[in-house]
Amino acid sequence: MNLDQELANALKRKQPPPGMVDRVMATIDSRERPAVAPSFWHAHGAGLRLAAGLVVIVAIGFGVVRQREALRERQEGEFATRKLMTALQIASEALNDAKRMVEQ
Amino acid sequence: MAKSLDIEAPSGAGRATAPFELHDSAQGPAVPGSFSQIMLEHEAMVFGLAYHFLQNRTAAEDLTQEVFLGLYQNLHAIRSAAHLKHWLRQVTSRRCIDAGRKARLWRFLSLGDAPEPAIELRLADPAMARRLQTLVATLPPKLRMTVVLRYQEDLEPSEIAAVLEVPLNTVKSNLRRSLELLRKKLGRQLPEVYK
Repeated sequence: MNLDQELANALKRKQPPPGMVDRVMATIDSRERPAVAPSFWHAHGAGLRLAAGLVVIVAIGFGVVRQREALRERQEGEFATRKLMTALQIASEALNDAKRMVEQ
Repeated sequence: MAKSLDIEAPSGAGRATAPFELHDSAQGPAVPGSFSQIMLEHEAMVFGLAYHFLQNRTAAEDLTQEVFLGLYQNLHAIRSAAHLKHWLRQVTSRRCIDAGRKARLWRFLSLGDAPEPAIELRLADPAMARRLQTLVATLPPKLRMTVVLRYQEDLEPSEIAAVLEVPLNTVKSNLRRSLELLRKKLGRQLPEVYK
């Protein structure tokens, strides 16, 4: 047996599976293709998200302030109503007292 | 991973006198169509080196693709057809040896992996070829690549020394050692065939 000859026979060049060239060329094409222009949302997504967050926070703050003002106005109105009723009650009692004195 | 992709042509590689014909010019970009031609021309060499070294079709395919992608990026540095062939052999060898070191394939492949011969083996017998491929795969990485370059590419020891960037005497002793190992292993496995 001739080992040199056997090795030369065993270690012949070998064809790769078909499509190797196409795969490499496709990889090269994909690496060289200019990047697709990002959409408006992708380009400004972070800024838009931040702005939307700020708008929501401001709206919530404004709503809370408005709610507190409305509550305070309602409480002031109720307090004024109670004062008026008390004043009317006092005036009514004074008038009743005066009427009784006149009748006597 | 290759140590470097910028590879000098060996002194005996014989540079072309004209600019490398697959370029638009000596310094210009490579022509994509020409690159396909280069691949078609050399894919069997690169894939063969990788396959005979790694003994794994998928790994050899991946390595071949990496080598050609590396070539595409360094095509401007290729000066001649001889330089191109040398570059491909050198980068493929480096990547194979690195992959072999990482995987330590030769430690896991044992003589028991080689199929037992079912019939008496003759010269150019496919079973013998397969057995020899398996035995070559049991060699340590540098010896294995030396053998693959010697017998697949039919390179002289001086050319192997240039590709692997090792002294000529190292290549000669590696070849002697590899053949001794292979003869010993074959003699143990097939005493009736290999005498």
